[in-house]
Amino acid sequence: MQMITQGEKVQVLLDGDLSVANAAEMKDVLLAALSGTDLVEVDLAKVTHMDLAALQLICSAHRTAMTSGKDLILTGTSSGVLLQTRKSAGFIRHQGCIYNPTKSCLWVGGVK
Amino acid sequence: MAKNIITVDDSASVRQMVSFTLKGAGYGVVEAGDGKEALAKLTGNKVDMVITDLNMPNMNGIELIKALRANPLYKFVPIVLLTTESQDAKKQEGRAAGATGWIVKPFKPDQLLSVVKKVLG
Amino acid sequence: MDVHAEAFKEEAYELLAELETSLLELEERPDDSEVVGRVFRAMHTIKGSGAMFGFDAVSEFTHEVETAFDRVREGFIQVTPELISLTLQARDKILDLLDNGGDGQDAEARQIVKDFQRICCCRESCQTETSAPKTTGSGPSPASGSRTYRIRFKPVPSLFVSGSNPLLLLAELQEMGESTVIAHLDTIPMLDEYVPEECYTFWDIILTTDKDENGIRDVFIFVEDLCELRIDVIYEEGDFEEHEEYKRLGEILIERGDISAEALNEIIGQQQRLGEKLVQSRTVEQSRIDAALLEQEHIKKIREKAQPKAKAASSIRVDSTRLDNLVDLVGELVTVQARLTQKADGAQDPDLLLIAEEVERLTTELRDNTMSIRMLPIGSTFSKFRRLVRDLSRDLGKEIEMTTEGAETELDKTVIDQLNDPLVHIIRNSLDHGIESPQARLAAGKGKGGTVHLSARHSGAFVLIEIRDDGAGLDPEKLRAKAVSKGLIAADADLSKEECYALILAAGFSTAEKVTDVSGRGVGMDVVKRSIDNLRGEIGIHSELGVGTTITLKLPLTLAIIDGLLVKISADFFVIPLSMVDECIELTREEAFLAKKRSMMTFRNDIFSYINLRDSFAISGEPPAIERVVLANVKGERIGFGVDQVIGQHQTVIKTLSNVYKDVSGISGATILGDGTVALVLDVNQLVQDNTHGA
Repeated sequence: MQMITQGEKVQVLLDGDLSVANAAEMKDVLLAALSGTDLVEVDLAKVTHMDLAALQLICSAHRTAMTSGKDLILTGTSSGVLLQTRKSAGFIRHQGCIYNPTKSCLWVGGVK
Repeated sequence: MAKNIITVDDSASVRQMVSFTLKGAGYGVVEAGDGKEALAKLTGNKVDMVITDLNMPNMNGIELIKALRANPLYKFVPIVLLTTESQDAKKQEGRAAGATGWIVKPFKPDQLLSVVKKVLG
Repeated sequence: MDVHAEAFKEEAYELLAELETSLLELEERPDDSEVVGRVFRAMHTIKGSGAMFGFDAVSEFTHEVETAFDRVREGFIQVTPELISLTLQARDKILDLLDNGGDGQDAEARQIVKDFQRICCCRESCQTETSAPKTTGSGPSPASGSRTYRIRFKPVPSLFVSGSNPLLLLAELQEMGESTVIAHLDTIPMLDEYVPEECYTFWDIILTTDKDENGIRDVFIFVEDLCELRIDVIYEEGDFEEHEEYKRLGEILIERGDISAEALNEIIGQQQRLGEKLVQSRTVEQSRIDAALLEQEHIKKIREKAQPKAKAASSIRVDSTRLDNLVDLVGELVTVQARLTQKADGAQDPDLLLIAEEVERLTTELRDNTMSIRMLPIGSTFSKFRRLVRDLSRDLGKEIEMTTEGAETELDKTVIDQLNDPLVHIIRNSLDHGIESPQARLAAGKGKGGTVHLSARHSGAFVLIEIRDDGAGLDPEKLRAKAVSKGLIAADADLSKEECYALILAAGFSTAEKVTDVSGRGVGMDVVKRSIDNLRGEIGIHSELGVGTTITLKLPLTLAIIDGLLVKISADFFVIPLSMVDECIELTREEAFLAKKRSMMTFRNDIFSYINLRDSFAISGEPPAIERVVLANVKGERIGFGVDQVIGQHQTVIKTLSNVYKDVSGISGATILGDGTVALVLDVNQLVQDNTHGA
């Protein structure tokens, strides 16, 4: 896991197996990223596996960003790992999150 | 990537049966005769699941689970306890120590595999 | 013996050797808990592994020893010289069981077990192990039809610390059938309050499966104590008609306990879509509404899937009288076709012959098709009896189960309709007289509950229906005595076992000591016999005292059209059902004379009963020089029927005789031949009966 600052945005590169065992580390990285900038880009391209703890954590980070007027986006999701995990965990929303002023939610759409 | 399972039991025949079944299903298997030996064989190595007997010399199943859960590396690893049906209280003790599930002896190979699938995937 | 079992034996030998040493050590130092632990573990391993590798006797026996040492370990009982010598004795017994097999139930083993139990019990009040063996990972029992469940799975926050992975449990559910998984994320906190190791999510899973609720609970067996689990059936196949709407959003939310009815009513007053209103008013979180919406969607999907299935099995209902008309018309057609064939044969016109053959082929096909339309599976009749058995056995205070086999067997509708009453009677008899009371059964060393087994299967042009019970069976002597006392047979009549059984079919015979409500209300099995005779069927009875009775009904597949053998006596034509005919032979006048005199004939060194039909029907005229005999198989017995001439096979459309001729014995119907003459269809069974009685 690493954090790269690119001008206005901070990129968080996650890799390997994201699970409850390294959730604490992941939380620290996300917290640090959100404290430094208004736009966090979480890159999942090199993630091979995710569990519920990782999904929950990303959800919480997004929620946190939204409520403080920041934004968090996910990239590198084409490998299908995220989608697979979302499907099996039922992270599927019809409408956005009530906590977010813009009602945006990472879990709306994308699932066929 | 093959997942690795350690089977801990003082009965060689049970170890043999467990190991044979799991290898047949494509898992990597490490065997240990009691809790102490299991900890020695693990020493920082990654393992995906632990199957342990309850009654063993030197270090029994409950003590092994406690020791594993205290180590960050094995804190969330699924641990399945082998028990006999008369040990309901032991099951609770195992749960309190951090066991994920249990298999009641005697069991058949396919029962073993279905439990492994349930906790390990 | 497989390798695992061999490995276990090796191991057990080692353990037993070690056990001996430990026990001797223990004799010196009775308080050494380490040695006690060793003894316990050795026993524990032998017990546990023994059961796994098929040494059940070893395992069960060792269990007693293990229990005792478990008590020693816990300080409940003391190590005494008695305990040690008993354990040594047990050790030798285990070795013996390993080497020589045995069930561990011999006197020595039982004594050892008893002694151990005494030691364990006299020190403390006897604790009985009540925990039943839990099945782990075993397949859930199938429930009939598929159901849709709503499962709310709410794990405790500390779920991960037990090593459990909820996603695997969800995956297991998803494998059980069509599913929709909805995660509730409302409880996920902001990052600064987030504890990385906690599980914040909970789920609603909508699952359509044919497994039952226990099958679903089995998935959560390891996390039972780590979650809230609620399982509701929300939809059962055929629950509502296809146009009916599924539950409305508000109903679903109330059902789930996500909102109270009062709160809902308050909000509904406003003009907006309910979902939006609920969220805006913050009464219900968005995810819960999403979940309810997904539930609606899931049910819609399941129902759409079920519909094409219903269409595929489409059928039309037709009034059965129309079918009867069709069968009549086909019958007429068959008759006309026979005439056509006869005419064509005589005309020596090849073109006409070709047409006649074509018509014959089509007629046969049309006949078979028409008959098959009238065929119905007997299953619906069987299932009617299920209720009968249930109610009757309750009335009688007996525990009787009905099992069926071959419910898909098809029979002509007319046969099925006429079969109902005889079957009811036979089943009632089985329940009432056949199957004993639970007490009597236990006394006879049988299971408390009795069974009535109904089966149906095809056998050639017949259907065999069997009613089998595992009751007391028929006592031929008792039947005989009763028949004598009722004057049905002579006191010195020489009857075989089968003939004794057949007595229950005789008019005025009832075996019940007293007349009961259930059966034996004056009408006996003779009514059954008459009905079956009307169907041109046969009744067979087999019984074994104390084991049970089997009644077999042999019925023709159809009543309307049969294949027959056309025979001639003087100028009269008769039809014998072809299914009963074995072969045709010839007798010279001299042989025929002898046969007639003795009612007996020989052929290929076999002796058969012989019935001369010319005599039976009192037909005048001179018999031919060479007489034909049709050998027919009647209830397993071969009987020769003397006729003048055998014409050949004939497709017989059976016409029932008018009521005037109803009581004519030996004739079951008539048919019209190609040239318009009438042939009588023989009731072979009746003929045989009449003749043997007359003899």
